[in-house]
Amino acid sequence: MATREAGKKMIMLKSPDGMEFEVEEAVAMESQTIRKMIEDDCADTAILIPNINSKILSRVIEYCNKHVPTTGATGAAASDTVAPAALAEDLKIWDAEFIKVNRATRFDLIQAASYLNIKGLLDLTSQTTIDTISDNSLEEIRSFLSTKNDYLPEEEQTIRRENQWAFQ
Amino acid sequence: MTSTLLPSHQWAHLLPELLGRIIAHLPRPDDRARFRAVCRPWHLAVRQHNCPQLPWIIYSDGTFVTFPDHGIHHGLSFPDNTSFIGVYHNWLAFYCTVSKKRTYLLHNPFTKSTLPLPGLDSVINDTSHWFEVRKILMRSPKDDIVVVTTNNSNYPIILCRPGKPGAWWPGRGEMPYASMFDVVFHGDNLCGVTKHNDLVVMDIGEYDDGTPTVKSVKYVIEHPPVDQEEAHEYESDGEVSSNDGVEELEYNEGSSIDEEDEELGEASLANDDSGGDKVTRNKLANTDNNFNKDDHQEVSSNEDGEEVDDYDEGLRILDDPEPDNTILNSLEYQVSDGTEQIGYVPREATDGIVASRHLFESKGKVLMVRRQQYVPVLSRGYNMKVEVLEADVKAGVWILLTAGVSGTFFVSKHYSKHVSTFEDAGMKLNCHFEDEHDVGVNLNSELFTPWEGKPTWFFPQELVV
Repeated sequence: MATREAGKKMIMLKSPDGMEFEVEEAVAMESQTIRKMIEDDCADTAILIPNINSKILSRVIEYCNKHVPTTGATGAAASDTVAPAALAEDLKIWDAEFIKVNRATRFDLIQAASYLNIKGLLDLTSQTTIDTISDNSLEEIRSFLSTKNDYLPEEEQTIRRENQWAFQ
Repeated sequence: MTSTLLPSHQWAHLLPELLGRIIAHLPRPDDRARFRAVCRPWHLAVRQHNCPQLPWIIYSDGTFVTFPDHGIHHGLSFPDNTSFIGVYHNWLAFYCTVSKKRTYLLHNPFTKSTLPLPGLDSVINDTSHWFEVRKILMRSPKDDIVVVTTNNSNYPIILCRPGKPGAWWPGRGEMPYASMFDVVFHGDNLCGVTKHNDLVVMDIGEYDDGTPTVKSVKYVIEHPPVDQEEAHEYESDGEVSSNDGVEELEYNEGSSIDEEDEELGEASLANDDSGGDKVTRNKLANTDNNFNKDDHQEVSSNEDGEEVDDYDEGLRILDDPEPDNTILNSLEYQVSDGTEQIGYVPREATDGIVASRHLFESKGKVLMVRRQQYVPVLSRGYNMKVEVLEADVKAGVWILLTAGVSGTFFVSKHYSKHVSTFEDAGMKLNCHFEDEHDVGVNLNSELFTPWEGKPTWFFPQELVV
């Protein structure tokens, strides 16, 4: 969790289950939704983030902390010592670890990324979902994502038949 | 949280904009077909987000570009250990090399079905460096006749059947095949256009074992043999003989370019073309060829000699001691693809003007797209003129269509198609050349240039949404 440092403006984020997170403004502004609130001066007190529970919100903040531009709030020293390419590679590895979560968490993360409008996190979570779907059979997709088949058997038959070539 | 209450339902109820985003990143129709079958909300999302399918440009490594978003995608699975050679609609053609012998196959990446072409294996198995399959045509989607054209004058055209060993190809130098630069199916028959814009119709039959063969060839548009005296004029006035005054007027431009070209003293490929009916030569050919070219340059300024040169060339090939089943190892033996350099730009002597011709079938008509392109040495070419001609079979002439043509032409070197249902409002002639769309595909920071990676129009499987 971010701690208060001299000269850094802090923002308080609040989850619907009552947890409060104090984060640097720059980190919070990774979210375009929060950025808009701050710019519109709606962030004098704590910002309530509806729909996102404390468990997911803390993961989102963790992501934003890692991805906030290094020249900014988290200290200029980092960018002086680490080459940009190496930094990008490091972030990629970090992202891959970060997204190794169960499908329920991944679902919550993608919805949170969308609501908070955090492009990097949205790309990461979408791509993981796309990889799950692409080139896999219908049964595999359903099982990977635990989606319930809400078609009647005859409906499913029809829907398969319409594009029979894709189910061979 | 809903996630704890309804764990198994949640992905079905992903936010609509997120479903849209995911669909946009799943351009393959097979992925979309499965996506819509997962559950009702996903089916609805595909209905809302699926746009009319535009063709893709596909590259030899499986990269493809979708339109209109110009999205670059990877991961279209190719069969293992194969090299991409071309496209026919939603089929991809490959060869694989096993102990220096090639085997050929057609593969549909969506249905994952594969059609082996053993008929080709026996014909073009030992290929030279310059050998290239130009086009692949299928008469109908399954187990019917497959036509392959190559740049090799021994095998300008090969007919075979998927899964069957037999194949047909014309004799060496046999007309009109040796001068045919593009072919297209017109109903059950095969149409071909020759270098002189003669349109021939090949009636396809079969032997007892099912091997296809050309039963007869009919010239439906035939240009009279070129009078020696008029040979040069005929060439520079344009290859298409037409009574249309507009046509003649337009080709006067062409003739002036040709003349300036001659003043520059540089042998143009157009003149090379006029010299060899059976075989065209390339600037990069061997010394023997250079000798001929020098010879030919003189001939160009003295039309009387042209036929002699042609005749010599023909004889040389016929007398060639090489066994019949060999792929000749020289550019010299390449068949024209109908592309020709028709001039150089004054003051920019190295920039060229290149003309190319492409044959289409559309609603029972045979059409030809003709393109003149300005090709600077160091930058991308652009179109100077694109026109469409329709074969008037009764009158035996090509007619320049001036009123515009409905539908869209997708033109690429290895596969072209006219689609009558796509229409860009307000566009008189809607013609998409693959090289115009090749904005440079970045693959691990490697840029494809238009002549690498075989960019080819490809029509993905139609999806029922």
